[in-house]
Amino acid sequence: MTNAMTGKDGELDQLLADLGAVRTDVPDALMARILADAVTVQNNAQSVPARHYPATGRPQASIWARIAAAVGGGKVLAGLGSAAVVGVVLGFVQPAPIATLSSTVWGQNIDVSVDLLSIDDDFLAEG
Amino acid sequence: MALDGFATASDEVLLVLFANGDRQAAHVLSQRFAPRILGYATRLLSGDRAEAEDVAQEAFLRLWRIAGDWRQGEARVATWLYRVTTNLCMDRLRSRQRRRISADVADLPDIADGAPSVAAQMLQADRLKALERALGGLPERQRQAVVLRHIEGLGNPDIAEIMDMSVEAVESLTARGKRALAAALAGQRDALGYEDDERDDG
Repeated sequence: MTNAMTGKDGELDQLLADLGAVRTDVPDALMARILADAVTVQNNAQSVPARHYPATGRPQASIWARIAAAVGGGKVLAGLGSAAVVGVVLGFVQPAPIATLSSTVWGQNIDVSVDLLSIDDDFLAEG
Repeated sequence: MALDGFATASDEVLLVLFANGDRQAAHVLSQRFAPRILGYATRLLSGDRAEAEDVAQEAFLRLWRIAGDWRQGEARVATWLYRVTTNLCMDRLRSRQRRRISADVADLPDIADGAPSVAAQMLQADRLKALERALGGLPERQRQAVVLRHIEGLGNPDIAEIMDMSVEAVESLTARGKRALAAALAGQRDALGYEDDERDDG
């Protein structure tokens, strides 16, 4: 105990710290037992690849359940479906607010045509 | 993963590696925690080393088994191990109906750092043995709290999680435990050389 120690609380704290500094030696036999357990558990895990679905017959998830899980769950799938339906409705009905908004933004009606397969294409013409 | 990588890898990473079949990860985790878990179990079981070794083995076995289902971020490996060890020790203490087993502290190793004289080393060993005996005389929960806080060096929130109680309860247990330890050692101050220290200081 150091001379700098003041009071019994300090002595006790120092003694506890000294005890904490004592490293417990682990016998080789115990370490061997621990590692043998580890190997056994690893071997058992590898011999049962589908351990989340034991042989007692848990049914495999349906295709819809797996799709829902893949996109983040049933609620997310429902949200995606709703958004798709709304998009289709807007495309067909084209409500007045949408038309007004588009003319306000663009300032004029714009006709856009895309020639995906031009008959003037030289490559096709050479055919 | 190279050996250097294993040495610096976090506990959780090692556990995931173990679950994926990596055997080196088990080695590193065992070397990292086995001394602490064995020492902790030995103190909770009042020095019964053989029983403490069984507890340590069982705690690690449970760690290996849960590795595949470990939820990262929900718990720390160290905290989990201490908690399981605590519960295993409690079960064993209950099963032997609180039968007192005298602490076997004869094999306490020397403190590694410093190079005190032989007499000083013997005095220090006597003090540590006296502390171990006093720890063994504490009520179980007080002993757990004091050992986790002052010997294992854990923080109060971690101890609260391990012992499944509030931080305030941990603080109270630790304070009472330390008071009880001080009282137990008070009668041995002269024999343990503390009075000599005070005379030297004076």
